[in-house]
Amino acid sequence: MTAATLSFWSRVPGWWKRFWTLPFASTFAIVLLLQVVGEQFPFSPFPMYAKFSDETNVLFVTDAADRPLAIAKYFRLSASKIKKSFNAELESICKKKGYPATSATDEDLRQAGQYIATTFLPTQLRQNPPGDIRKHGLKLKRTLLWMDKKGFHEETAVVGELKS
Amino acid sequence: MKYLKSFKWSNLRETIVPHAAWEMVLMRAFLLWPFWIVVQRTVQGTQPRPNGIAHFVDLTWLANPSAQMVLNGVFWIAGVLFVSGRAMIPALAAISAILVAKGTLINSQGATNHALQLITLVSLTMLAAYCFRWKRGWTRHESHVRAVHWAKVMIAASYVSAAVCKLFASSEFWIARVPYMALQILKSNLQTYYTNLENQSPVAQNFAYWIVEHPHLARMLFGAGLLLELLCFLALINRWWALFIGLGMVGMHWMIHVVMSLEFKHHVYLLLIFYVNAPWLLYAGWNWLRGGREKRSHAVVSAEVS
Repeated sequence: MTAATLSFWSRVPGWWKRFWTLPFASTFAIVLLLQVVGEQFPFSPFPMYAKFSDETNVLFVTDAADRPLAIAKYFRLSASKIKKSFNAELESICKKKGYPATSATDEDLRQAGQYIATTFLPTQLRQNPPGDIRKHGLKLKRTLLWMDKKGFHEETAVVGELKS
Repeated sequence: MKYLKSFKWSNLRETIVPHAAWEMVLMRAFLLWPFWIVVQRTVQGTQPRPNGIAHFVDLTWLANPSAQMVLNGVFWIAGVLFVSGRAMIPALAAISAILVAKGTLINSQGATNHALQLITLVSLTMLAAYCFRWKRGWTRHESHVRAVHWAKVMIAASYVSAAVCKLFASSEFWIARVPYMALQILKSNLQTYYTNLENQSPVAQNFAYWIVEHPHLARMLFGAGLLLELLCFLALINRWWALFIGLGMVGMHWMIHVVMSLEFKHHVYLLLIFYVNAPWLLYAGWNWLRGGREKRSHAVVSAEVS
């Protein structure tokens, strides 16, 4: 070791030196970093399925006659991505109103759904979809799923509509 | 038994596995495939909800087909340098920059996707490992060994972080709420159906009902998965621990894929490349067989002599 390195090392706090002597210290330092930075790509704490709620929901797209459309054939999206985009929109609507998305009203759900149906989905259309949704219109539906002691339950409602 | 008798807690420490040069060349060559999958992904030319560097930089130009062609060219030049072990810092810097840019744009569409973070972090970690050894020479064998080790550390940290989220994200203990996983499985199954309008998986539906009927067994099953994630850092002890943890994690991802149709392809590739390390396993198996045959032939010769 050079004199400069020794001088630098003597100034490093003791707790910091001791931390690096712990087994697997490097792994835990990175875990801490991932937890602190949060969801800023490429960093992520990887929170997939960290919370299980007693209710969840699924979003899907139908034509004007309520027939479900195969999302991947019409859009560069999957049902799960539509749901994530809907949730992000819902969160920003609720944030502006000063409450969390868990307290969203039916009106908030419709507002987020309308944004997804009329603004977001048309920008995600494939080049040659099997049908012209701009001409025939579409509906965005949300199925609420929940479970209790009696078993599974579901309820579906229209949250957005792109009129022909 | 012999191993158990010689077991010491002090042996449970992180060690840098002295991989052979050929092993690391193969690892880097295999790593190009998951990198390439990310590089060639088509992206939307908008960033309605910026994430990461998209807060400061406009990345929408990445959706341009001519920009994609340039990226492909840069990637393959950098890829050849990366596999050959030459000019590691410029090669990994180019690959990492492409991965960060693409992943950021994909994650700026309003939906967070957790498939691309780990592969990008592995690339950045390897780059950092080479940068730290700048003065000692980034093409030296020792530098490659350390870069591979840090890639393994990054993989372990991502799984431990996922386990930490499960333990601390909810006010209730995660294991206690495992029966509600059934609802998530039904949701995933419905989402897969609405994406392609193909029949729902009967395995997933049956599994959801099994969880509700056998909550304690389900807690044990998912608890084992949580423990595996939490103890993923043990893969850093030596090659054998890495193999067992790697196979366990690949098995866990396979189950998630069957039950929930959720694919974490990049994570599986990374586990197979760095933890399972099949080429070394084949080599070790071959050596073991050869050694055994040599021992047997020695025994025959010595028996004949005596």
